Amino acid sequence: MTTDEQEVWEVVQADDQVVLTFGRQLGARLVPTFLTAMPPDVARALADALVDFAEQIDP
Amino acid sequence: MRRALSLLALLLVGACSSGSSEPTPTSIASRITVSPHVGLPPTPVLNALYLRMLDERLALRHSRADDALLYAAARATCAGWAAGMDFDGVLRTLPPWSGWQDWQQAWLAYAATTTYCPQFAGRLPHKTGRRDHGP
Repeated sequence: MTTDEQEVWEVVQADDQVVLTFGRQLGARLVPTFLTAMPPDVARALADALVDFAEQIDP
Repeated sequence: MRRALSLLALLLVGACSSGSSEPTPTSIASRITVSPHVGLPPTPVLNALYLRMLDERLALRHSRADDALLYAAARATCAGWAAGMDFDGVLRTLPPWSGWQDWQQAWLAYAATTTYCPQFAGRLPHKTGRRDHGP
């Protein structure tokens, strides 16, 4: 990754799915490096897990 | 990192609630721009979460949502694998002493040995930093 690139996490609501994309911002373009789609109840479970995990790694 | 993860959690919850009455097929909820020096690559962060779910599943403490998350994770891993995602490259970005490589490899091994994506068994990436596992 060069100094001009930014790491970007994007959350998109598409139909009945929540799409989470990790990528790199190159100008106006997002180049995905990881993408996953999940239904809303799974997205909520992931949100809870993220909060727990964040507390574990940085109490 | 904690702030970024917490913000991501908020965005996920927001995306869940915003879609119920929105007729447009696709809408961007938000983007988080993370410093490239944040310290932990995003994919291992997710894999760590998936493995936490796996631990809970094995301990019979999982909920239906955890089960669905595990399935979604395996499905996403398989899709990434099939699309040629460079898991070897991902592993090489992780410090061998951090434990992230073990998590990443354990998750991929689990995915490959289940019914989710058995076609990838035997194609696991190699950890770095150890002579017996070097590329």
